[in-house]
Amino acid sequence: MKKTWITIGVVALIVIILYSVTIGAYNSMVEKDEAVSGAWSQVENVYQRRTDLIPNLVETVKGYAAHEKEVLTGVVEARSKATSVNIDPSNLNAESIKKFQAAQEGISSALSRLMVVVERYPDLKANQNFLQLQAQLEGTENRITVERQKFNDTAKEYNTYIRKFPKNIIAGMFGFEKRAYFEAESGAEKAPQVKF
Amino acid sequence: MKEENKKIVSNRIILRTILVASIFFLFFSLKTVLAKECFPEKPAPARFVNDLANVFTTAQKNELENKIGAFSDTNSTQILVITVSDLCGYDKSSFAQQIGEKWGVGNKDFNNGVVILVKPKEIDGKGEAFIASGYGLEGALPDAICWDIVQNEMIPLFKKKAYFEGVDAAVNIIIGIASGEFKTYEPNRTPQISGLIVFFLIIAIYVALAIYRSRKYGTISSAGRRGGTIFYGGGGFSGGRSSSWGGSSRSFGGGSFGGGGAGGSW
Repeated sequence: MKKTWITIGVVALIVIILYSVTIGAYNSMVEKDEAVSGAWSQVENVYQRRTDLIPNLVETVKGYAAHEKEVLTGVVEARSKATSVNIDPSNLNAESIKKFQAAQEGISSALSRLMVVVERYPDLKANQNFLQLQAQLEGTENRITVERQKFNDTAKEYNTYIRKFPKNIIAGMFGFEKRAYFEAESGAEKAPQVKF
Repeated sequence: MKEENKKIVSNRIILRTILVASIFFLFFSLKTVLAKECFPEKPAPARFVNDLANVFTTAQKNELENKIGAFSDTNSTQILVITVSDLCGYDKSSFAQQIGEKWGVGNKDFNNGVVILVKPKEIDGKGEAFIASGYGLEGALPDAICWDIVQNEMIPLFKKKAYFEGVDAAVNIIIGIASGEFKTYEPNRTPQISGLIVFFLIIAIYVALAIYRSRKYGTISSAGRRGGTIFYGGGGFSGGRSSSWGGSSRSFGGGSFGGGGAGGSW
């Protein structure tokens, strides 16, 4: 009689401990997962910021170098192409990140072509408005680098958390999946060189 | 015989494990030493002026430190000045951003830190300067303004080797801009004041009770003496309080940086 009570007590204790451990791990997973989504929207924000700078930049350059049509339309086209690619944080995976990255790379290379052309116009390079835009563009490229890094860091934290034993069992039970990273592509994602 | 063999083998295993472990330990400690060498460590009592390249005099350092410290006390915005002789292979923008982020310059809730980074030209022929703004200051201190400060205020003076004057000018401008932004923030001073009020209220009630009691039971002269003693104690309390306010030590608030800001070279 006494033995059965002890067994029941032990089993109940184990169940309670297991339950609270599972709940704690699950809630941490939700938090970390949300942090990754938050970091992703920060990444999109800073890319958006660059996209928003483009019309102003194009207008300013047009004022001095209107006949560089090819380069200017290249920038505008890359911009409209990139704005059509938006990714919901819930379908973030290696493929969708790659797609997003490819679209943004189009802008990067179009912008670097534009900056090469700008070198030929000393008046434009001395224009205060243009110089400020240039500073903003540079700052935005820095922000992109920082936010991509932060995204990868949060994704790594989340991935490490859900893949460690025994949390991987809980993660599998509730369908938490590994998050994809931003991959630095050789040279293609480098900030356009803005020279003075 | 067999027992002995076993013992030798197990001893060997233990020795080997210790050897491997110590090699690993050595390797990792060496690695951290190497990594620490270049990127500057956060100063242990927080300092706003970190002249690692030795371009300021002690008096100049103190002047800047006091100015920035007084400003951060009233406004919570923190400005970090750092001069370095080496950017550790980083770009100036990411160096400044990482210093801000790792040291936690600025208030944690407002992210209102600023890092002014200067690498003097004398070291390797290329002078570099950068102003990095924390997330919360990106609106008040946009990249174009940072760029303007670096190009038009700092670099012309740096070219004349007037490092203190250039940094001082930048600090003054940033203080001017930021003082309009976080004015209302007063770190945990209100609870202290209300605590004082409660304390004096309790004393007042106590005094009133004492006077009332002495009128009821004792003579007038003894009531006067008792009241005097109590007031004396109150005076001693407020004196201790003001001295502890004056000696408050500062620390970085844990602000975060997103790569905002601008810089230039000369």
